[in-house]
Amino acid sequence: MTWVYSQFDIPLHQQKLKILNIIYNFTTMMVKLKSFLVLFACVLGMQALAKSGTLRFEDFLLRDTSHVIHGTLDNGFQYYIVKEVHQPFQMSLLQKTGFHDDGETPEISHLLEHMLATANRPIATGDTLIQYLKKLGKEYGSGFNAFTGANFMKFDLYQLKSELAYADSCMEILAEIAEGSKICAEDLERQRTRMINEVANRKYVLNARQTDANLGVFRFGYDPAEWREVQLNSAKKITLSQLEAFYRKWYHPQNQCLLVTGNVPDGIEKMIKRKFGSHPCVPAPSPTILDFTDKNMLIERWGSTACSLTLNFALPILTQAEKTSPNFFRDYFALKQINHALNEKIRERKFASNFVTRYQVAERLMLTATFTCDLNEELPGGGLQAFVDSVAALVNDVRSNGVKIKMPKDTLKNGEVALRCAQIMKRLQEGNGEGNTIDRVLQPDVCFIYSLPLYKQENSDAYWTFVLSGKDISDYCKNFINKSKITIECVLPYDYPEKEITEKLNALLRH
Amino acid sequence: MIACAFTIQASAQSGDVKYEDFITDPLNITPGVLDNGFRYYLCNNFFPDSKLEMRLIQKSGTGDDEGTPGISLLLRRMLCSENLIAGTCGVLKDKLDELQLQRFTQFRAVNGLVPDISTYSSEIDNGCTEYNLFRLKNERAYAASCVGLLAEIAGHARFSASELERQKEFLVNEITNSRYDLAKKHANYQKATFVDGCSLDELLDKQINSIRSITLQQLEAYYQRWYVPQNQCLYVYGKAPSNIADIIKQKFGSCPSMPAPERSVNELSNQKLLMTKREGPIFSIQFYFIKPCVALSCSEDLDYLRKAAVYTRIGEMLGSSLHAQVVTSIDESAPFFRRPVYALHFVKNLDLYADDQQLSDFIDDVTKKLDDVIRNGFQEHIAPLPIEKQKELQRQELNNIHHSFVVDTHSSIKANFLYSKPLFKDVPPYKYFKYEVSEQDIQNCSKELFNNYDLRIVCTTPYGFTDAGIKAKLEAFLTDK
Repeated sequence: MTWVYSQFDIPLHQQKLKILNIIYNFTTMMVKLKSFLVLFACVLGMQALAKSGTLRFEDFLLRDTSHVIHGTLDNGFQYYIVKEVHQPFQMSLLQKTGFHDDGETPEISHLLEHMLATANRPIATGDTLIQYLKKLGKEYGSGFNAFTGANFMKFDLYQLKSELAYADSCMEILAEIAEGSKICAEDLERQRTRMINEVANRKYVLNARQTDANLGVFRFGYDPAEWREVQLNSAKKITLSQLEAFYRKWYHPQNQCLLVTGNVPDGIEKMIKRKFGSHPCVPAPSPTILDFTDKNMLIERWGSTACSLTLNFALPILTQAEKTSPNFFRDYFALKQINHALNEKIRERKFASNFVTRYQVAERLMLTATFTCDLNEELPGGGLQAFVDSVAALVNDVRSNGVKIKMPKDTLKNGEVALRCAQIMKRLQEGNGEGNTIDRVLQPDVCFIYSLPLYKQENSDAYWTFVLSGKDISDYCKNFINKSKITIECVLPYDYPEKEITEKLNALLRH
Repeated sequence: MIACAFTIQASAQSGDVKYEDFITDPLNITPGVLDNGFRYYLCNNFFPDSKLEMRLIQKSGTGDDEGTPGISLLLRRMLCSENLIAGTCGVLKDKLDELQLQRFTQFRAVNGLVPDISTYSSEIDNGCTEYNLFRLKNERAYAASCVGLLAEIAGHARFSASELERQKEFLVNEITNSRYDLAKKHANYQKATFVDGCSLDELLDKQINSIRSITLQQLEAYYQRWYVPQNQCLYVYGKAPSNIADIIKQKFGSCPSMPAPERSVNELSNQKLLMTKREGPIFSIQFYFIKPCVALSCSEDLDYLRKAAVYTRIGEMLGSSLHAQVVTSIDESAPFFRRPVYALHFVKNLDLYADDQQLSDFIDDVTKKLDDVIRNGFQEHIAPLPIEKQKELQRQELNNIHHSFVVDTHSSIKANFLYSKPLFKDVPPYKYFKYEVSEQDIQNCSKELFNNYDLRIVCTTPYGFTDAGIKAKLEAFLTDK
């Protein structure tokens, strides 16, 4: 600070200089004061950070029970109760067993599903299943459904009355399926025939045909027609005792979960404990995790005058340690950002009539991009060769250059970023996640099947938004693409020659 | 075919109804004819979102190639090419830019679909070619320019040799790529099988070779021969300027009246059965009972409508006895065969849980039933309604018909222009007349139908379905007929 001289002692121009000097010095002092205050705040923030340490995996878990309750009984049986007052009440039994667990007898899980849902199956009340459903006001075939997937089986009861006594009667069906069910020998041949016809006829339904081909080629290493034959031949020979043994091997509480959603009546949690808590806990095998085979391309056909290319990028199978690390949430967040950025990149290039990108979490993290190109009738080959070239160019670009994305860390000052990080971290550590919504991919059923967490989506995303830069995301993207197992499903019009397209796609895969 | 001789109960039973009750309101469709034979239809169904559109409909298509396969396709391409000299409108590209229209070469306005931007596009099938302008402004000057453009395309276009070669290459690619388009492939298969008696590849190769050798002179001669006012109409849909009829008269009326060429009726081949494939779990069998060409009866009366109802009822009864969906169509001049055709289309959805035998069983049921009907007529009893009940139901239907109008005006006017079908409202006359169809009517009609016909069958199964056994059954059925 420079003192001001008396106006009577100094000439005018010197007086003006001195005044300007004072103003300058005052301004400088204020700037310094502000910086000091900001720094002080950061220090406080950093101290807070240092005080609480790094985030733990548990900090990310959703514990707000006003929206969803996740429980585990003593015998290992899990349940999720998701209250949505305006949605119809329904309940599903999830069994962590599917096609991947069939082993030497393909289709055994599927046939077991048929047998557990068959109309004449006797249940503990003395009724058959169809009689019991009728008593509940449900027609057999509507309101009760069963499904077998790659890693799970699901038994659904839906459009239920939101009354506790009614729920009790409905839950009885699922509790019985979960433990102690008798396989109805009388219905075996009928259900076997139905299932064999279903497997054979799925080839006429495009989506079903593609799903089956995917499984057969990428998980079991067959071509689609071969895989169908394997399925059918196995299905014809499965015996009653094999079914019973399969049921006894897999159907244990540690492999099961009840998912209750919608306008759930009060008292459901106690009911679940009562109905499923007494099921004995016996050692149960871990679900089978099938990795991809060496085959990485599948050519399918359809009736559209278009070509569809689906590229699936899959990282290695997640270990248990990876699933329970905070980095899981970081990587998942980065994957979501990559998906968005990739979407923008494809949109700019305008080579596809249509495209969809999506991310998935199952036993691993995956990114899928599906491109569709309508046949241009004026061009040789309909222009499909050029389309495939464009897809390949995009993939190579992303491999080398990643994606462009701007994150707050790229635009905000370090101090502010640190402050925001600290604030959100506190929220993660201290809050139960109230106000957070369930991630649309990591839904309860997926979480159960693949042992993944229900997490504080908004809080977690907010945190990583300030931790990761655009370059971090781009580098993660490059790493993701380069470390992935890539599989390609190409769907062409019937009779379209595939040789040149296949060569181009093989070149893309070899890169 | 419709003018079959059997006892008509119509007049006694349909006392309150008039033929005009079934015909569309002039506010919905207003037809007009110029002195030179050019026709137009001003159509509106007053949907608030509808945009103005205009279609020049030319009464010639792929079935009118007159020994030069592909010439109609090539002409259509030429009249859509950006370098076309569209008479006084100049180069097409420039005119479209002026009118702010995009050229959409691949758009197919099927099932009422229209583009969501202002465009010029065209379509062609066996019997007609269309040149379409979509999503137009309805200002007078603009509309007049659009009408003017279509008028130039209708008869004043000029072609260049260089553009001809360029379009030939595009067309060859288009024909080659049609192998991968199931709808086009199906149409080509029918032509190859029932007309040319050859395979699909042979048909397409023949087309390609022909196209490569077409000269400019041949193309111009074809254009001048077929593109005459009597062979053309203008479809205008939506909120058009109030003087649109005058504009049409001014732009199209000056073309001299010329004799329109006689449309050929193809000799059909000896092949009676076509097996085709489709995507999806559906089976379909189409039976085409082709009747001899006869002079068209004057059919704008209630008797005609009542007779059509009898034929439709036959199809319905067959469907319900077989638990199958049956669509019946009666055409005095069916689009592909160009002869009177009574068509029965049986459709069955795949039962996912039944085995392949399901289709074989279905074929057996259908052929057995048809065989029985053909030999012995219909034996089903129709319980007649009490007369008061019949009249009550018919009054209700008549009320529905009075309030009905044509929603799909385009299909309606096309059928009227190309095949002289009446401009019916959307509620079909069948709904009124079905209550008076008697057993005697059914028996008389079926005797006439299933006598003196040429039967062709098209059987469509899903891709991947092994249909050798089905084919043998249908061939055996045809052998008897």
